[in-house]
Amino acid sequence: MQLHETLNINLRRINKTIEDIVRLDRDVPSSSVISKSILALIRSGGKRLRPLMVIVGSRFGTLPTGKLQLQLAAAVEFIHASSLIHDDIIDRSDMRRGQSAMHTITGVSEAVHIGSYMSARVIELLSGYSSNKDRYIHDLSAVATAQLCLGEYEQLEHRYDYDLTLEQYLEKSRNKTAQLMATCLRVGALSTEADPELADLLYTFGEHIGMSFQIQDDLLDFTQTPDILGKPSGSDLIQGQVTLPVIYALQRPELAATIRAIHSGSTPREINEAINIIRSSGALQQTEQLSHDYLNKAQDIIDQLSSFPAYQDLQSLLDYFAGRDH
Amino acid sequence: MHTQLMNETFQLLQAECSPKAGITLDIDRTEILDTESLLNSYDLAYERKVHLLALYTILSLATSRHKDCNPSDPNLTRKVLDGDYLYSLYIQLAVQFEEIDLISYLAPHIKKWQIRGAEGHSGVQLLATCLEQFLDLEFRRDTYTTTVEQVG
Repeated sequence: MQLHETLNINLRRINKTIEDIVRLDRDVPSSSVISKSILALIRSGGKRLRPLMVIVGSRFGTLPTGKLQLQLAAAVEFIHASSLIHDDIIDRSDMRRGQSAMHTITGVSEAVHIGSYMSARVIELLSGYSSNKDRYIHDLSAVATAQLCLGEYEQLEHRYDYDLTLEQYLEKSRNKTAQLMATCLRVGALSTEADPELADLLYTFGEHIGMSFQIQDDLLDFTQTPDILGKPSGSDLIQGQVTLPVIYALQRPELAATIRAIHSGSTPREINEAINIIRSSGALQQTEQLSHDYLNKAQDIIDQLSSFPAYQDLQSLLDYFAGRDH
Repeated sequence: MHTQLMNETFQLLQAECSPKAGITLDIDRTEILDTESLLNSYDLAYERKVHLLALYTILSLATSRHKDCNPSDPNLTRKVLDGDYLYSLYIQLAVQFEEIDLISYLAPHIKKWQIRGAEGHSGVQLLATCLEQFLDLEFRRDTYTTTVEQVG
């Protein structure tokens, strides 16, 4: 059973609402490159984890989940998709979800503007919620997005930086991945007038599973085949990303020199050697353990919320994140 | 020339802009002076002028960072990231300054700039013109409200 089915969420309706964001924009003709490119990206896949988290968050409030929550769920996926377009340009990545990345088709300048259009369109839609009690809605398009950028800055600053500390790595992961997921749950909860303290607890839950998600993502780069990943194994290392398995492997003095020798001009053979020693160093097991530690912290929060009927949805989310293999 | 308003705006921006972003606030002072004159032509509280000038400056910087992004540009990554960060900072600060109406007013304009950019056109409506239209609208509305209250 897929996650949305377990959560009893109508994914088709969410997908339609996501597509409607561009389809119902009178300023964008349906035949335009903008519309076609965005719809192609949205239809190319994606697990819609963030929209599902908005809906799950909304189930902790005092109001029923309805149209507003559907719009917020769609908006967050639009923001996420927009960040993917810019990520691919920043990472010089030509493939996305097994297809050509948008900028390789439209041109870089055009893709930058299409990504920014998506953010601007979301702000246009959300700006209808202008009362003071709706301020939290802007967290999606402001706070979470700013944190995402800060995570990218940190990643950029630490390319091939083998002195990156565990704390710096965790901070980057929190900014880049966990905070948007956490914000989804919090915004969903506040949209149905959940108690703010409860919304904050859900935020913390989202942060924990978001951290686990990013750590797992870093792990998969070493454990999965290129076919499943849709990119070469060890891509992060090739691009100079010092991820958690690398940090742990660097703690072994006999391995450090080989890993530290990797730079932007390294040969495939040198990179493969480094990947293999990281794989056999025990670093992957340590990485897996930290991911589990975050899931355990998330589990503690679920246990605190067991009086809410929707706590089972948090359990489904956690089980999904724990069993994620690609 | 640096005016007090400009200095305070830059101090505010430096305080709000994360050092992690490392963005240089390379601002066209002539443009800022023109915007300052525009703001001074309205009866606005000083603090609000600082806020509006700060928001104007961030938006102007964001727009310029995303302009002409070229794959051969060695600064491409920074330009894309800076633009994204500054757009989100604009929303963050506008919410903080309680300028939600400004967000609502500018949103369709900013969106249309992006549409034009995506279509390969470079010209956009001047941000200062949009700000002026927003303030005109606000003052007309305030005048109307005051008149209705007096008549009522």
